[in-house]
Amino acid sequence: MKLLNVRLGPDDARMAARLREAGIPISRVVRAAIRAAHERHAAARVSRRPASEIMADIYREYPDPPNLPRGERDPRDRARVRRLIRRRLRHRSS
Amino acid sequence: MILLDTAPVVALCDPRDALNRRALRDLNRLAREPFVLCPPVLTEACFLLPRRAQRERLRRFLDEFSVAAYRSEDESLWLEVFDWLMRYHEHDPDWADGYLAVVAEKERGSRVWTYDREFRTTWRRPDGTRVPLAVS
Repeated sequence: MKLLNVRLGPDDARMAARLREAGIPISRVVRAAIRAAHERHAAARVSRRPASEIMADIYREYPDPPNLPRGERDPRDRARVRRLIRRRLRHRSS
Repeated sequence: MILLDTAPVVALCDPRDALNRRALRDLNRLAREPFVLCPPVLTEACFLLPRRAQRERLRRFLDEFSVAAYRSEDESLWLEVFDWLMRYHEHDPDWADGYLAVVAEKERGSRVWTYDREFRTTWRRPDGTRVPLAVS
């Protein structure tokens, strides 16, 4: 089993101490909270619109400025990407 | 768990990118799985997405799709990545390549979403097995 360390602020620490005093294991509380949050997260994802529609909204919200020059990168070509990054670094340091 | 590589991230955040349509199709298929982003991939993506609008889109993408940061980095991981880079030095790999290959071994059940052909042809996990891929 994996060990999970969680930092607690003063209020949460106080509540955790009270639960412990009442005989409620904190580990059980944490496991239940993780499961509940995970279920909520999974349900939210299932009910979502198609991902491409969400991205289309993002593109509309943040459009490129007009007359933007076409880039030269091919992300499948790592060597070219590396050259592009090096050129930008050189430009930054000169 | 889907480990994101730079090319799909960049393609999703730049609608003019040559891989954008393919990345959107793949995103529709993969969006219900948890996405994880490693620090070197985010760094590369920001180099390749220098404009404000591109970075705004990146931020929104990370938020909308609950992309999680890879949190298990420590010095031993760096050393493993260096070992991997030495093994493949003839192929001139990047830090992000090695990082993803090493994390793909550590996080059993993970798959790498990449368009980098070397993940198919050349790179292997440190134990010599193929890197599981999220897209064909």
